[in-house]
Amino acid sequence: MKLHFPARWYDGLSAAAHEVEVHTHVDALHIADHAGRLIARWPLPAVRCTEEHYSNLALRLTCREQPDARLIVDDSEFAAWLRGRIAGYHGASDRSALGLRLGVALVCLVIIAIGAIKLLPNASAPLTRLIPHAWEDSLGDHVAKLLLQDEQLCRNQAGDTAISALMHRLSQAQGLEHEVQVHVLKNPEINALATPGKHIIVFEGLIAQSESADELAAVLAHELAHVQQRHVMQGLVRDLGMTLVISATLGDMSTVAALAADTGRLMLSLSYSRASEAEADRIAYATLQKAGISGAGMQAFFQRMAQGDDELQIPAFLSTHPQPAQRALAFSQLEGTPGLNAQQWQAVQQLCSD
Amino acid sequence: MQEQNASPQRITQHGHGAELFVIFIVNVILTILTLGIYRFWAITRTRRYIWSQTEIEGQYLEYTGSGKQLLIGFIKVALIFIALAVVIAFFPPVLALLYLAMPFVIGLALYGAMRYRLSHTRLRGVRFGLDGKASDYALMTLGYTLLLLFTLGMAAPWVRSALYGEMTNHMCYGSARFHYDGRGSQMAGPFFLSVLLTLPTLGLIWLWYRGREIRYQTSHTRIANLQLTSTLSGRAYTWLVLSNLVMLVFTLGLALPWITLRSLRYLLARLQIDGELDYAAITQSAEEANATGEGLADALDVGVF
Repeated sequence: MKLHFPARWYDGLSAAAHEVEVHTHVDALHIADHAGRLIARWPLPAVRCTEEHYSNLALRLTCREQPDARLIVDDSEFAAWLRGRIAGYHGASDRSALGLRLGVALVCLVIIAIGAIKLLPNASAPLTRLIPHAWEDSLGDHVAKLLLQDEQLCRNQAGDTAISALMHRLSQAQGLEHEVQVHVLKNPEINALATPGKHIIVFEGLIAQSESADELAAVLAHELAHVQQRHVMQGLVRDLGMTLVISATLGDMSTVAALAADTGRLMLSLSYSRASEAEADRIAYATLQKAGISGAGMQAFFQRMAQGDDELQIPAFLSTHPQPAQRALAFSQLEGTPGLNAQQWQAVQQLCSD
Repeated sequence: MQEQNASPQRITQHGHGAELFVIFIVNVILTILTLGIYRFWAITRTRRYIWSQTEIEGQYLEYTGSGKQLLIGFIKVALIFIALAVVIAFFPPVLALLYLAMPFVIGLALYGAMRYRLSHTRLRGVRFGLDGKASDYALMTLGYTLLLLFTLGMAAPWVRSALYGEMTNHMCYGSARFHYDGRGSQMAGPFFLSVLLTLPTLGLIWLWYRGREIRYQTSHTRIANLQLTSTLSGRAYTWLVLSNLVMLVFTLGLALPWITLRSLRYLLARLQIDGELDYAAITQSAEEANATGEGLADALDVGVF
């Protein structure tokens, strides 16, 4: 075993290179010039590599007691000697074994990708359960306030009472403990949505399009299922998780890369959303059945939507909801009585007329 | 005898895409497991690898920054932002003031981040550095932004040259100083040509312009008595950016390590250096800077390199 090796020395005061010899001792490195004069003595516990050592590079060392100085040794025998003698150095990463390392990395990557895609939707429900209802409610109140602040609300005594009665019936059938507030917006769009917490927003256009109270009942049952299952919060938790995975993958490198990954994220989001909608449909179906409300209205409603869709066909994989034709079929079996009597239904229809 | 017109490349990037990819995957795993906190160490590992594989005349660059410093920089900036949010909640007009001051803040961030990176870069044990005051650069950025507003952007070649010069002239390698002697008017021709061709090329002409700008700015930069010359053409730069983009999109971002190294090699292959540095005469001078500017640049998402 050699005891001294040729090395290059930078004293940290200037950029001048000095050819030196490094002598290995039990507890220290002695750096000496060619005449044998000692330039520095580096105790091994204070010596560190300046970075991970790759086999194509010389070993670069520094010492806590002389933090600006650098010792560069290009000698595999010295590297072998040093291995395990200073903290954090376990030998050079060998470029010839790179294929193996790359393979392991790729396998890890595939596992992460599958884990992220499979685990996130499954993990988001239990994670959402950890969020206190009080938080969700205050978030929901805030969202509802924001959504409603510039909109005109449709209200009158008879209509509100009719909707309350229907909601009460549905909530009981679904076993929901807390009251959910329904807001009707004076807006011709055919839509309804659930916020986090305890609000359902129904657009006037949806009531106008409904041909019977059963249709409204089915939509409300569907939104109520979203509320009960906390789907909106789950979606938030899921999106947050995906954003975390993606930003971790791309680090601070490039906005363009982020854009590419975001497309993938959106596709995943949409597929999770369709799964939630299908679940809400299933629960709505059970709720209507329990409340004894006929599914005929819902079937008719989805059939009309399926026909209307012909002009603007969105492919199934790009849609947030399952296809209307499939949804209509699901409700066709359900028998029962109307959700509201004729007088109540009229009151609801006239909610926005004044 | 063969004519020596093509001098050997004096700065070379030896990094291996697969090695960087391994670092990248480990970073991803740890960042996810730590809910994002690891990202500062991830950035540090990536930089340390790229720096340590950059050879300059036989010696390799060294990155001495640390994840802990970046985290502290980030926390400082986060605290300032929280304090500002509280102030804005009580005095909403402060928000308008903040919008006006935005160019100033971006200037601070760019200068601070550059100072952190340079002062944590060493070659032959000697630090690079950026002296001067960040607030001067920030004030300049604010003033020039107003000038750009008044001239509808037409002053851009002059403004960009002046800002590049302000930063470059404060850069140093130990006691050796950087100098920029370019003039904005020299880029006015390509600039106005690009303005004219913006619509017909769907904006792609600006990649060409940026390539020309990099060439011009680099070719008017000196380090002590080393003269830099870039042979990057607008077309070559456009090709670099577009081909990188295609590769990123088709690999969903996974080609990033290879693209990073490829871009560096591409630019370095087009960099020529004339003259000699007397390394023995270069002494250690600059101080190490803190990472507040990095935190700010991170928060504002402004790139430095």
